[in-house]
Amino acid sequence: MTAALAARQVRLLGPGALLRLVFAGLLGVLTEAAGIGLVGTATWMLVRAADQPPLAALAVAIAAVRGFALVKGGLRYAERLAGHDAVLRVLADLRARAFAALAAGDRDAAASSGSLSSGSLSSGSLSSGSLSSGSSSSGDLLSRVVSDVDGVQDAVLRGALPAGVAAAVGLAGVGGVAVVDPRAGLVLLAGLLVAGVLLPWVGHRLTAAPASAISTARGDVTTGTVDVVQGVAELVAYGALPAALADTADRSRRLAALEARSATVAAVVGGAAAMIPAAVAVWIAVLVDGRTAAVVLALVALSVGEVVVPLAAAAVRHAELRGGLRRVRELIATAATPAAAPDATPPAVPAAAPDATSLAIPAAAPAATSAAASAGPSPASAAMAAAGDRAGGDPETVGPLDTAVDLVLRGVTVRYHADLPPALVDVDLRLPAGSRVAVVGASGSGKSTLLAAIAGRVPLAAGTVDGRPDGVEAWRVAGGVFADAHVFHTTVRDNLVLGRSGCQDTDLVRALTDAGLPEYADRLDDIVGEDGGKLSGGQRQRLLLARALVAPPPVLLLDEPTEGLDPAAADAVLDTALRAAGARTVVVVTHRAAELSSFDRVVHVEGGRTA
Amino acid sequence: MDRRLLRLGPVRQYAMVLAGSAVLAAILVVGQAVSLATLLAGSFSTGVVATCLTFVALRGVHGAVAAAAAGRATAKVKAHLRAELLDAATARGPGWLAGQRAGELATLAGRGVDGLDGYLAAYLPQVFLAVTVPLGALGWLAFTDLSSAIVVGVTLPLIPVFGALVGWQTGARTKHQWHLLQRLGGHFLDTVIGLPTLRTFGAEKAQVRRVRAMADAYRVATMRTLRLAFLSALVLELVATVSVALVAVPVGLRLLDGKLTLTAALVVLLLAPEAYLPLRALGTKFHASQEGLAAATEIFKVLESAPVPPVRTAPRLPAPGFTGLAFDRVEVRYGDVVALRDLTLDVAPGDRVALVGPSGGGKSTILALVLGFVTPSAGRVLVGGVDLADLDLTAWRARLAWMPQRPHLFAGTVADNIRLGAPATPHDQVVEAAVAADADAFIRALPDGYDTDLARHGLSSGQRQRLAMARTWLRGGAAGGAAGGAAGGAAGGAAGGGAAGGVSGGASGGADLLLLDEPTARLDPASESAVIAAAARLAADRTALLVAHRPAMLSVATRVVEIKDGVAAPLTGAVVLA
Repeated sequence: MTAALAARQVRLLGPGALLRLVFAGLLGVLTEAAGIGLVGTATWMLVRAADQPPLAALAVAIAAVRGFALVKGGLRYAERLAGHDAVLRVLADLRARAFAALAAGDRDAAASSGSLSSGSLSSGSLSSGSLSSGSSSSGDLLSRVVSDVDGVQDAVLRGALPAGVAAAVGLAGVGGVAVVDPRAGLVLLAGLLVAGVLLPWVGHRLTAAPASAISTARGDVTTGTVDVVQGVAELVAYGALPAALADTADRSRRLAALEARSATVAAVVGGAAAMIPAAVAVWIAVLVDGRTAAVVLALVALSVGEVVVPLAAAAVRHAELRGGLRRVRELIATAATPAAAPDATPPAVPAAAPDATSLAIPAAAPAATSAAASAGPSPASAAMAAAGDRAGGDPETVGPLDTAVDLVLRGVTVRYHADLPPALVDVDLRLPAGSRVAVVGASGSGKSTLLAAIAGRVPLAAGTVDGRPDGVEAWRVAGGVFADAHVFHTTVRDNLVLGRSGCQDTDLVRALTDAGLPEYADRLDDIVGEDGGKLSGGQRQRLLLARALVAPPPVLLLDEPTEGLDPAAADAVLDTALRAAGARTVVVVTHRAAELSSFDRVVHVEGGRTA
Repeated sequence: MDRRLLRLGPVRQYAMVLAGSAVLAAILVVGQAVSLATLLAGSFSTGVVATCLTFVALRGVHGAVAAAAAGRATAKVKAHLRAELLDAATARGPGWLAGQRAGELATLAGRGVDGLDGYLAAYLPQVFLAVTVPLGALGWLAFTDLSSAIVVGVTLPLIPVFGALVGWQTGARTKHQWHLLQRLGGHFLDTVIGLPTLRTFGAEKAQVRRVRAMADAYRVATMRTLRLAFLSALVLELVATVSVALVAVPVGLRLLDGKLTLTAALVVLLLAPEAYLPLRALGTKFHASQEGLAAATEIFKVLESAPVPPVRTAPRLPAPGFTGLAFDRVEVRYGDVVALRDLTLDVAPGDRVALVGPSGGGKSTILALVLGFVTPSAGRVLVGGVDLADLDLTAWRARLAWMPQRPHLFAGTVADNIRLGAPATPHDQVVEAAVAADADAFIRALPDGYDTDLARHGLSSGQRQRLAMARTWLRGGAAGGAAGGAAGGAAGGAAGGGAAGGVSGGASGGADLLLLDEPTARLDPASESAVIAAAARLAADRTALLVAHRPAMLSVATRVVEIKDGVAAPLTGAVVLA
């Protein structure tokens, strides 16, 4: 299943949302009908009155005029509330689905070797551990997820909903007018087709290409803004701020030029559409015999036409949103596999396995290793993940495993990019329960990748990690502090708990104390700033360590846990942490020779190989 | 706050165009209604039909031109605001930005500014139309049928009165909604960046729920606002439709009595709704404009609280040549937290001072002081005897080569990241710097070598650190001095009359003062010694402040100072190494 095909099958609106929208549309049709009825009856009344009939002949029309006048407002109110409520529900749903898709994309990348189409995102953030590259792509993501998803709101509220209402009102109007005078009905139909179909289509065609350029330009502006804001210290210190600001201003001028061009097209198309109802009215007035019919039909046609006029502008707007809609679909499609859909009932294992295998193939091919080797572990791990889902029940009540585990790495090879040499080559490593292992080596030698492989965070191009009990997700077996660990802009408590259930404050305080951060024991509600910006480097590191110590899995992995601490504090913190780890296996990536005495074993990594 | 937006240069021009355009619109509306009524009443002469069609066509053309002009002006104003916003945000300096969420600012500059579409392109033109068109329609009605004009004239003011009442009510709520939206924006960025971490703890599913909960909170808040906002629309629509009925029925009755011609009656029927329409549309567009205005308030908050940096009347250029740096009883506070208290420290030319001490003790703050990112709350920082507060900071910073603890790498090529601030640096000097920082080998192994786009390709932490070291090397080396001078000149030009008079292009070889904040924090022993060797060479005939934990780094230093609890205590190297 290609990504494009899958994306086309994604429904942005669920059946419930569709029903709510149809209801809102019905209210919209009734509102417009009341408005047209008001104009029609008022016109009829005036034209009849000019013939000076007895007053009784006008009584019904007068009552109708007043009735339509009163009803229209109430209907409009109900329509707008119903429409907005439906759309905001869609929005909440899409935001969650988009995020679930991002989360599932990452999970699949780790669980099998399916890197999906968000593979660049997941492998990028895994391999880099780099905040900077992470931040520019997340700047993109911010722009993408927030404005694309919000674009759906616009597309529905200003596009689909009015278009549906206009189509229904237009057809009914044409029918009604044609009953009185077929020629007038044809004129109205022609006018509506021009104003409601032809002009919107032209507008859409003319703006489709600029629209994708606009969305790219918007992403550029966001990326530039995020870069300037996050890198301002370096920019100022290096005197590069004016140039960076000028560059970002250029980007936003490019965006403005594109927006202006698109606005001009919309204006011309909209202006042309706006002329049509009045022109139709003039034509009908001249065409139809009989003064009463001519005047009433002309003004009714005018009112019907005005319902259709906004469609031209809406079509242009839709062209602007289309790229965003496509991206939202693609993003959600990445998660639309049975194993990943959070609400789907767990599929039977035989059904899940072939699906997972087919996902694994596209990613395995660029990995440029033997297909047999890569296909080997994938179905197994996918089946395991499926079993875990089934056995796990509510995912939030599942914590790390509480039994000892002997892990064995056999021939593990990891490759982040087909063009690059593998980050880890044919690594064999035994991690018996309770062992203390230090990993040392040059930067970029593969230490962090080794931890990621043990933790099951990277797809293996070859080899296996054995010893995880069947049906247990990798994170429940091995985890801890990784190089790319993120501190969330929230409280100390939330950063320690991370949504895990069953964490008592006493556990948190103990973890903080063990990690050498007792000063935060009574400040659990302090907000730590963006990526822990309000903490010093050393405090940030100890917070990450404390998080890992709150409910550690049987294999505790620590990537430079004492980075940013002075030597004496580093030794003390590591000592306490190792003691707190108890009987667990602990693997520590370190540079400090002094730390090595506390370990049973030292593994040297060089060029992705262990010695 | 409306007013601050209207005072912006591009907005003022735009408003003048809108005023003229709105007068024209009123003429066309009345013209079309009158000619159409005449035609419908039975005058099918070519002249009447032609007049009528001419008005229809003119109205369409005018609408198109006005909308195009509005779109162009809006795009221009938005670009202007984005630039101003970023200028102001960055002018407040890294200290201020550190407390801000990058996500929030990006949302403000992106979606926040885009929210002004509703105000600038839709609401503002409607404000003018809401004045001219009702007045024009009312004037013509008074000519045609005074009693109808009186009914319209009495009910018309009800619309703005109701509108104002309800608008006043919704204003506060919309502000609340904007904060929610902004929080969601920040929350989303934060959550996405942290996704790998969440996965590590099996917590990503809980976050999906959290995202949904935040979006639901957004829906609930919005609907609460809308129920009220649309209530105003309901009232306004009722006033308008009921008034049309109020006008039409008596007109019909007078027609019945033969007191009015059909033409006049049709003019009233066509023109009366035109009088209400712009005001009602104003109400609708007011709602759409509110999000933008709430964003505008945030934008102006940033713009107006932009630094009142201590007014440097005639900032002094630092004297050529470095003659020493002194901290004179300096105290620095971040809010209630005292980061440094009573720091006194002299750095003579040629000194290489290693700052050691517990983390959080204030070591990085000392470097931030030298960079001018923070200002002392008491005491002074003296450069060659001159208070840093009196110096031209841009010129002073051009003398510094700084490597932060967590360097930021920008979206762009590896080479551009190395020659930050000196874009004209020839490639061989970039390579030279990379070689010096032991970064050349890994850069060459990247897919596109020095042209690899860092937005697309991640680096390991050690690689990032070496790349940043290369950047510092280029800045600090003799080559960096010349190029830095050139870039400083260009920067001064781009800043266009900023405080800085630019950097004198002839400044001598490289930076005077090297500031290294744990440059080897993420390096393995092998690259650590390579970077330290580079740092040692770079520091050889310079003055340096080094924040260091590792003993190897201390070997570069001539002096070790312990910073503890915000005060300095000199140490000998032996004590630390023991």
